[in-house]
Amino acid sequence: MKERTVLFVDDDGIVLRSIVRSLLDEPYNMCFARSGEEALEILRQHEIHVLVTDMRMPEMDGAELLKIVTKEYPKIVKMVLSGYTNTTALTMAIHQESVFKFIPKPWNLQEREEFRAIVRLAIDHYNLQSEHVGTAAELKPYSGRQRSEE
Amino acid sequence: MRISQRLNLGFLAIAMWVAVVGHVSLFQLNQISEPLSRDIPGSLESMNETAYLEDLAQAIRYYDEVSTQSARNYAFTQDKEWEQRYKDAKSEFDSVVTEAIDKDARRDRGLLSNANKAHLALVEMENISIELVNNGRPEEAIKVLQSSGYWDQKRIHEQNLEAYARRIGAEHDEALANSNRTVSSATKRKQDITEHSRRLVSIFAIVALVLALGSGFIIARSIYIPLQKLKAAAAEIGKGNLDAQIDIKSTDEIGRVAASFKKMTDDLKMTTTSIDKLGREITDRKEAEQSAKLACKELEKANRELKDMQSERVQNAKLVSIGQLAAGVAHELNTPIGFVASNFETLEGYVSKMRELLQMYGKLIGDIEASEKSELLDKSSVIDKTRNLMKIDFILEDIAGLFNDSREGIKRVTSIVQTLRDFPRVDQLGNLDTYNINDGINTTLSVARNEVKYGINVKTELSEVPSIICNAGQINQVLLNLIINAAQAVKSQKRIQKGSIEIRTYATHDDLVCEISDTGPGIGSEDLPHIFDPFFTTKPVGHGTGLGLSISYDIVVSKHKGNLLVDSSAGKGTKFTMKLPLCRKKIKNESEVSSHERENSIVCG
Repeated sequence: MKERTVLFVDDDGIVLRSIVRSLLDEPYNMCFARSGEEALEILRQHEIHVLVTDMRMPEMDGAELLKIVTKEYPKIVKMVLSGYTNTTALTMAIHQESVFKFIPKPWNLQEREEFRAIVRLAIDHYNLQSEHVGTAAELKPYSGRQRSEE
Repeated sequence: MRISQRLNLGFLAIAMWVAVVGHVSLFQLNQISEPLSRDIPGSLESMNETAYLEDLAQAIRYYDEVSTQSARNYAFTQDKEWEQRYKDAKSEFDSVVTEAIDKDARRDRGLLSNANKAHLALVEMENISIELVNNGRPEEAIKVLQSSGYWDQKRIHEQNLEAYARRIGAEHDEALANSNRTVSSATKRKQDITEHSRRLVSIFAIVALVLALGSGFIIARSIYIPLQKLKAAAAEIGKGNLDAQIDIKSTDEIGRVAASFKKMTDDLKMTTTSIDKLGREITDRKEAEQSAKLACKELEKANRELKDMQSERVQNAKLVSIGQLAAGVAHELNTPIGFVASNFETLEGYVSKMRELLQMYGKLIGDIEASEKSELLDKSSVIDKTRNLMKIDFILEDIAGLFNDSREGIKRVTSIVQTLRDFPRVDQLGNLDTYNINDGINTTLSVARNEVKYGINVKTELSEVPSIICNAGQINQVLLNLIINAAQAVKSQKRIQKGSIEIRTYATHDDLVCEISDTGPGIGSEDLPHIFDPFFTTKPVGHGTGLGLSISYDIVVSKHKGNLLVDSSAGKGTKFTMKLPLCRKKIKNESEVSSHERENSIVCG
């Protein structure tokens, strides 16, 4: 399987560091951004497959970031990691930007594997999606139809 | 003619008739009584007189006899007693004779004077005889008394007296006969007149009766017939027939009553329709009243419900601030707890990796004696491989960071919990504390951080201010309300550059002042007078209770005798100024209020 990269966005560095530690042995690459702008910068320079973002951030908040990502990088599987649970903005983001999962903070109080399992699930989801797209591309000569890649 | 006039006339006629009859009767009575009163007294008087004269004549004869006998007896017996008796009889005789002569003055005095002459002669002789007896010569006295002269005189006296008595008797009889005649004639006349009167009165009575009956009948008829008609008409009207006609043409009272009656029925006809209308109106009005009462009850109920709702809303407002607080606190806690927990799990993984590695090293050390060098080197390279696989170098490097991060997380949790402990609890709202407003602002800011943290620059300029005695929980609630309002105002503006909130504290001579200003949209002049009203809100439905500022105002102004001022205009931003008295009992000296405070041009409430 091809190497996958997950981008984590949170304005709190300690949160990012704890994520690094907890996902140390996971079979994918990790990138980290401290703000929405930084995340967009990383997205421009690296190929990202899964995005995990906080909602409440200074300047650009999670909802805005998700919106941009949906528009510009539609294949990226998006997830939200937030302690801010009761807001219509969050629900809207989940529905409108087709957020794959919402992970509430604190994130791994119940099961140790929960958080990792979810991130893996997101990567599997991405793989399935791209396989589907790949199959479609293989079928392209037979269907005779043009299909644009990304 | 009126009934009263008719009746009066009838009664007058009868009264006149009665008066005439009375007068006639009186006249008749006079006719009876006049001759009686004229004739009868005269005859009675003459009768009395003659009777009295008869008595006198009798008395004269008696006293004469007594005196004669007494003189004779004295002559025979010479007894002095007889002399005395003679004198007595003689004086009696004199007075009777004098009276008789006096009474008889009107009549013929001949007989009596003759008798008296004889009597005087007799008395002379008797006096002589008494003289003789007294001189002791009774024989001579007897001779005198038995003399023929004496006896002649005696006889004359007797004869005259007797004639007189006869004449008086005849007179008396005549008077009696006269009297009888008078009475009988009067009686007869009276009977005649009585009979006549009776006839007359009977005729009068019959005429009066006929008159009374006739006039009564006519008057009654003139009253009864129209009354009967009226009665019939009234009965008709009573049955509801308002068109009943009354055929009465007389001009008397009944005629007028009938006219009024007719007018009344006409009016009744008119008013009946209006009454019907009125009745409907009254019914309508009653229904309206009923429904008004119902509405009133409903209003009362609604009022009660509203009151209940108000307290409920006040309670809700408290809950909302608690909710805001809880939501903020939850978010603030979720993050550090999240990463501390994560780190803890990670650390567990680190420890187990290290334990595994240590075991491997321990085994290697145990194998040193028994094994070959090459074998040991192999084993060592296996351990190194494992070690790399475990990313032990990273772990060793990271472990200090892990502890630091976790410590930081625990510190954050601790500080939030600290804040919560300082923050108002509803059950503590009555207590007074020593309170430093700067601490209160920091606490409140950390509680409100959730609202304030993003997109807003918060600048604080907190001077060294004295602590005050106040209800810390309530003042914190006011600060929270003001800060959250400011944050929401700032965030309501969709603009590129960050909005900001400025919080200043300072102390004047009398007051502790806290200013909270924002760069929000400001408050329009039409809303400004209402911002402290309960339930006034400009936020969308469901987003504000409209109670925050009213509760704040109550806390600052009513409960703490401070002041809550607002200075705002649309587009300019808003500044709230809270003033709390430094010493609660000190009286404010207006001249010492700093010019700084006068900026707050608008005082609401």
